[in-house]
Amino acid sequence: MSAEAETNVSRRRVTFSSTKEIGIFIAFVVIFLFFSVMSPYFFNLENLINILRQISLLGIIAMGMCLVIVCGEIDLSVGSIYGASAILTAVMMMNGFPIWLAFVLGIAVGTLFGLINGILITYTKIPALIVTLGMMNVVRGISLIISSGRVVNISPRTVDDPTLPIFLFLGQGKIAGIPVMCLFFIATAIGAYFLYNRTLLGFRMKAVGGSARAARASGINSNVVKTAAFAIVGFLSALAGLLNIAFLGSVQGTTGQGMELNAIAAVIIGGTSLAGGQGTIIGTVIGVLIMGVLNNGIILLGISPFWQMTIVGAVIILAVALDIWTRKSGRS
Amino acid sequence: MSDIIDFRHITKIFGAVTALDDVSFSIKEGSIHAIVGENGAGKSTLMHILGGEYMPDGGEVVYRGKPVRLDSPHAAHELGVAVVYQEFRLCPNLTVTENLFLGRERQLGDGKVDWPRMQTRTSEILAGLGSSIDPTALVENLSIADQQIVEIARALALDAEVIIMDEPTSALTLKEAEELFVNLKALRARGVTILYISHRLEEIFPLCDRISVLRDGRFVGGFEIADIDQAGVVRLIAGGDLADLHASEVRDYTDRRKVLEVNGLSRPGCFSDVSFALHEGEIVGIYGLQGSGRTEVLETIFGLAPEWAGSISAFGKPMNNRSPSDAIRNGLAMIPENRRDAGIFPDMSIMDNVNTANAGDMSNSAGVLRRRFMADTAEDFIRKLRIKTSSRFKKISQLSGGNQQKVIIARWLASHPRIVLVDELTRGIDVSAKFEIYKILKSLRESGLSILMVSSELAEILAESDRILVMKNGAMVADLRGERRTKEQVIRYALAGQ
Ligand SMILES: Nc1ncnc2c1ncn2[C@@H]1O[C@H](COP(=O)(O)OP(=O)(O)OP(=O)(O)O)[C@@H](O)[C@H]1O
Ligand SMILES: [Mg+2]
Repeated sequence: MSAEAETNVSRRRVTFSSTKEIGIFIAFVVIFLFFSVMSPYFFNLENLINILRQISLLGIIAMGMCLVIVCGEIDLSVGSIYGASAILTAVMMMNGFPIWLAFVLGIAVGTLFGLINGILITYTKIPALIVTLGMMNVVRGISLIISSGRVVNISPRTVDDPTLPIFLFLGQGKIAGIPVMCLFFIATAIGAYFLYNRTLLGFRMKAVGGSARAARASGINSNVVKTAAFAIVGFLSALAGLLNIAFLGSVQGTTGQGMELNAIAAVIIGGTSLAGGQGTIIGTVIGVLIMGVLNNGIILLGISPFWQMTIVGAVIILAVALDIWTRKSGRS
Repeated sequence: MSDIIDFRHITKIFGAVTALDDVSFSIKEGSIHAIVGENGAGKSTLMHILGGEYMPDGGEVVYRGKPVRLDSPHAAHELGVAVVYQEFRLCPNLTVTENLFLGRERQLGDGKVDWPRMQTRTSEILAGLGSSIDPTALVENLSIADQQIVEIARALALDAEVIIMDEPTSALTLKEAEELFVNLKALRARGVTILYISHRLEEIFPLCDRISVLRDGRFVGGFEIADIDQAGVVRLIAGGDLADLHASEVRDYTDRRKVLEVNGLSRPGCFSDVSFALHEGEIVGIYGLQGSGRTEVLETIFGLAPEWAGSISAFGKPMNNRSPSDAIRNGLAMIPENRRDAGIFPDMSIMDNVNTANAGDMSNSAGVLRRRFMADTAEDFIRKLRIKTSSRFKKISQLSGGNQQKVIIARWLASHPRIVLVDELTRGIDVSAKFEIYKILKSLRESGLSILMVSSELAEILAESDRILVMKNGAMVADLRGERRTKEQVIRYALAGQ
């Protein structure tokens, strides 16, 4: 009896969560097939791995962004944190800090920015849009000041530490043919899925975003929950920033500009509600994939880069329309 | 009198749930027609169909002899049908007047927008309802009871031929309800037809002319009110005889340990110098007229009051709850009066809604959810409280109003409290569910649970509590037990204070 009940539970689970993402998944498949047919270069292993590598950093940030949006908030400072933590780490490395220490400190600084966001928003009640817009500029300014507008390079000539190749491996290396960066993205996605669906913290993020009043009456401290979400996205932005510098070997003051809007777009395309309380990690992953495939495919088709933004924007709207449409018809 | 509305073979299906199954009955013009049934029986769904919110999957609505197609709320308005829905449909960011005339801003000013006239008309309607709400107040700043009045006023402002009221009194005070009944009778005298939904049979019998009963989406009987009595209606609603509803024995627990002690408790403008004790396993009822400060006492104990004086202690230790989370940590739970509006997470499933106040049990020490436990808890309460749903994964917002309330009640019972504060349990809950909930509360007190309950229903207080405290004008005026625990004594103290 209980075994039967158990399988019953899991079966329902699967159908329940998959119906939610089905619309956006169809949109993804359509776009994917379109490019496979239109370009001979699109559907081959090398290009697909290339796409995966290109979206990994955006994907890592989008996982955190999804949690923040589920809480009913938004974070515009992720692109700046992504740039600043990388520059700080690079400068530390060049000034003789051991690489592991610079790495840890870089991530800690990003997390700290996230914490500051969260604390300001929850305790002063200033809207997240304002706080993180301000933070976006403050942190961007820090990057520009530190780099004095120059490109900062990481190489054996500038960094004197035998572990530098290990650091660069995180950005440039491959394990079993898969870029290490992608492994970081996959691990982050699994972690975020687990956090969101299986832990008390994830549960409370949903609750806090769903109804602030009911959450308070249920004895949930929404300040703590929201601050945690901002700290997580700060942490992930810094991680992505460090992987980026390991990949490129260089970083500049403007690195990461516009990243915040791409991350938000990926989350929304994936079917997470901007109103809060409802989100999906799997959907966000698909949203990130759509952005990656689009950017890659457009270049392969040889379309003028001037058209690229216009097309990406239009496809985003179409994909979301398709999602809403399938959900509606699925319900009735 | 002729029939104004004729429901013919109405069927409505939501996924796996048949909310209405071949329902046919008719409404006489100029009558007040009651529609009753258990939570989830299909009452609100039928009203949504008449209001143009849902299209039926089968059957038709006949209005004044002609079949009509009600495919939008606008179509219903055109016909002259106005609905006061169970869940409010107000714009919280607009004023009372703006809400009343939303979408009909030009109606009063010969085609022009004439705010002063609308303001005046709003004041008139509100005054007619015995209310002193400011027409320029923002709706979001009003209490739930006042929002309900605004909803009702909006229906009246439409000058409709048919007015539907879905549980209008469940958020009103006794006095406001009386004013509403006077208004409804005046409307009937002018030939307006009223469909009236309520779980309170005591108010239906003096008010209504006819009564129709739904059960599990089917029409099971319609009567002239003179031809049936309350017991008969209850039998029809429940589909059989209920077990003896009020058969609890009264016990004396005052020699047991005191679990809650309140001394000289005061809250400015609400009540002053209130003292009492609650013993382990005891059910204490607080009775009093509206405005006597009962709800405020519960709120203060539960950490919802900004400012208070005096002392509260629980289990022998001083307790100073500054928020509900403090109170929950101290072993308290509160089933509040406006549980639906303050309590639901609309996008979450029933299972998640049941478990939100249950942090200690629903996750292990590493913060990982114990989903098996959450599922079992939810299934357990779905069965015990007879929550009508096809599955525990259903979103709470897809349940009927009363079933949403049951989910919130389940949440508090599931939080393993040692003291439960209950405010107006009966609101919006059908008779048999009410009985089940009291049964659960009583079974829990074997394990040491103590209950402090506020109710406006004298019969309920007398039947369910071991001891009755009476409040009047913010003061505790009596502690009735043993021989003195009688209806006459309670009424005397509540009215006269001595
Ligand atoms: N939008 C919806 N989606 C799915 N099911 C629904 C929806 N609305 C109502 N139902 C189901 O239809 C049934 C009838 O609900 P309805 O709201 O009509 O009950 P009711 O008689 O008004 O009950 P109550 O006294 O609790 O208000 C319930 O089982 C409910 O779960
Ligand atoms: Mg209803």
